Amino acid sequence: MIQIIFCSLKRLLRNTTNMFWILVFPIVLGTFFYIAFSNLGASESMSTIPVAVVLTDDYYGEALKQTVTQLSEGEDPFLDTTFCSKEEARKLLENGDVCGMIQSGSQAKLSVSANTAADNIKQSILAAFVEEFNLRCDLLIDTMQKHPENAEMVISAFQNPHAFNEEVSLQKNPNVDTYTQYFYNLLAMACLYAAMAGVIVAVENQGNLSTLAARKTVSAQKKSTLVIGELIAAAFFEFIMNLAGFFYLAYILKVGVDAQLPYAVLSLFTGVLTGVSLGFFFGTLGKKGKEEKTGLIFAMIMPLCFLSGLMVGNMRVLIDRIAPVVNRINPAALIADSFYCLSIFEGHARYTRNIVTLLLLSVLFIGLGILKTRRSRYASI
Amino acid sequence: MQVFNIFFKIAKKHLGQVFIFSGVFLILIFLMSISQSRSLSGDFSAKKIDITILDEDHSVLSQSIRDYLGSRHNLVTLEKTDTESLTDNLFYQQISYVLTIPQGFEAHFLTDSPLKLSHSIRQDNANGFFVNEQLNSYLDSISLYCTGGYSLADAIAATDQNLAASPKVEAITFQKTADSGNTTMFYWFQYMSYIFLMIFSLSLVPILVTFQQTDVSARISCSALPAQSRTLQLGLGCICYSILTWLVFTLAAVLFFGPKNVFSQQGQLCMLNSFVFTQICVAITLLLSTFGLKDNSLNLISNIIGIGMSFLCGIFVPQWYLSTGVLAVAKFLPAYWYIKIINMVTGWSGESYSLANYWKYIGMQCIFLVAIFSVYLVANKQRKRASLA
Repeated sequence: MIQIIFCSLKRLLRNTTNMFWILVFPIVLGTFFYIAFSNLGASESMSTIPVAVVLTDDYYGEALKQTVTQLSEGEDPFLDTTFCSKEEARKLLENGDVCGMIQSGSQAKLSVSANTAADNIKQSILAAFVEEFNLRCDLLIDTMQKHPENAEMVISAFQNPHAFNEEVSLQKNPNVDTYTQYFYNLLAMACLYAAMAGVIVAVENQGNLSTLAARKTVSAQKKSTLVIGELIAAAFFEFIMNLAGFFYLAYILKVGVDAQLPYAVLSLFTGVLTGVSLGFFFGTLGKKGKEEKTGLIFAMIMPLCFLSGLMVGNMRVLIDRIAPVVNRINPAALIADSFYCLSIFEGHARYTRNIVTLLLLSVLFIGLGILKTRRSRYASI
Repeated sequence: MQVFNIFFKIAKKHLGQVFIFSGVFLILIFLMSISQSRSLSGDFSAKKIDITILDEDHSVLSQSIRDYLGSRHNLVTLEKTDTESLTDNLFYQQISYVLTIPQGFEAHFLTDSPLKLSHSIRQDNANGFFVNEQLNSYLDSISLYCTGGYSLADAIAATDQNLAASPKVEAITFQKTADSGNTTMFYWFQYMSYIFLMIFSLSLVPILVTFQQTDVSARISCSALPAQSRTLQLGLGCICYSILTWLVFTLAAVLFFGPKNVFSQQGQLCMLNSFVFTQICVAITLLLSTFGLKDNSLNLISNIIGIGMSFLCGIFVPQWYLSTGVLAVAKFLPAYWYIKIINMVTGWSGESYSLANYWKYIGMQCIFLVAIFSVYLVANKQRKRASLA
């Protein structure tokens, strides 16, 4: 058995195609994901908004000037204000130097550029700010007109605003970026690519599919020993390859896939085992050769990864709504969800369910594969 | 035209790759068309955020909060509202804000120690901040009206009235191209660049490598066909192949989006842009062919070039989301200028359309075309020298 494992490992090491898809491709793709997504959080997070302000020479102009000046001060101000004329403000808006132009008056008015999609959230925040400013002006005027005796109390309450709302984080670690899920799915894809090694084990143990298998069939070694030895070698080798990719993502790119490290490594191993067993079972079906079956297994893995969210981030939740059973049995979704659970939740209930399902799937695939290959007789090869 | 005919005979054998990537392309376009929400109309519409409200108070005030947020955002009702489901929906961007109105909120609203609303948001975007601002401003206004002597119901009514009277945001349209009105069409042109990078390198390189095989090359060299004619026929084959592929995709665009959209001013600008980029893809392919790559290596290099340019230059992730460092590197890649034109023509990036800039960006691509082609000529000469030696 040990010799079988050793020889299989040597052969796997020489398979450059396998090395590329398991080791190089996830690392390359992971690096590109990292480059592309590293600024997404920053671009969506709150930052200072550049704005042009056009003031009128009256009380409203003075009130707006005081408010925006207050909001433009400090270390991390809300606004970066440029006071200028209307023409200058329009020019700044056209050049994209500011997100909006605020003009004072009995009602402050916001103007934005119509052909800007990138700044929509900032424009919306500016709109909310202008609305709030108008609301307060109206409030003061209403109070002065209807309850002038309370005006002083209202002005004093302005200075001490209540905090009506507080934040409660649902995640264990609130800093886990939503784009991290692409890396969970990338790891799931790399695990399932181990299926290629499984296909090779299956094809190279069926006498009618390769000359090597025909030679093995007539050897004195028991077929189950051969198959199990090669499967162990394949799972071990692919696990090491995946571990290298995992450590690259976790410790070089630092994308936060390593929450609860021992459990994360267990997820990786279970994922690889499922990949190898899936490939082994698939390899025992039909009489196609290694190349065709490898092509077909790729064609099968990509839709699984698509359904778990490798290409479209929120796919997993959509599937959960339409057909939740798919997420319960899709190996890619189970592997990605295991990493997600470790990063987000305190408990391990959902994680354990994912790992147990993956192990059951592995046992099922290997069992079916062995049943399919055992006691085969070939009248003519 | 022996070489030219054989060129297309070999091309037929590699049509599989073209079909695979055409399939991927159509799926991408389909996904984009169902998820796209961009509007090119001149009106400003504030960002609408998906909010789930868990109302445990069921009071007049909690109802007014629901009505206020509902008038500005999308209220999402979830089937399950346990912590796990809420976390999943928040993380996977199905909702961006979860607001819980605790029981007794209205009863304690005007006391010295009011109960607090609790909200959960993702930390990586400004949507939550935006809703918080609006909600605080709304509740603050009601509270101040109450301080000013109004009853709660009157305070809510006065605040709602003031909100309704607030002036609309003005959207100023700066110089813009004639609008085609079809956003999906621009995604078509955007993703076409990735598909062309992949298709040409995976289907055209094997054809050219076949002609460079020592035996084939020697056999052609000792035939009556002059070397110049052979090179010309191969070049003609590449040009015809690229124009044919570009035409097929352009005709498909006409079928999908209609001639009115594709031949609009915006469509024509994108068509010319895509044609220039097609020629860059061919130049890259020619350069790759000089290395005599085998299938595996070719797959690796093509994927790195295709996916790499797509992520770095803004094909998969919009350019305005990329960091300045990435964009600085991307400027040295042709796809950056290709995507910059699409962003300018559509106005997505905020850059106003100008014909001068359009030609400048086309010019940048032409410089890349000339540069890559020059490198190809040098590399090809080196390869020939090496094979003779």
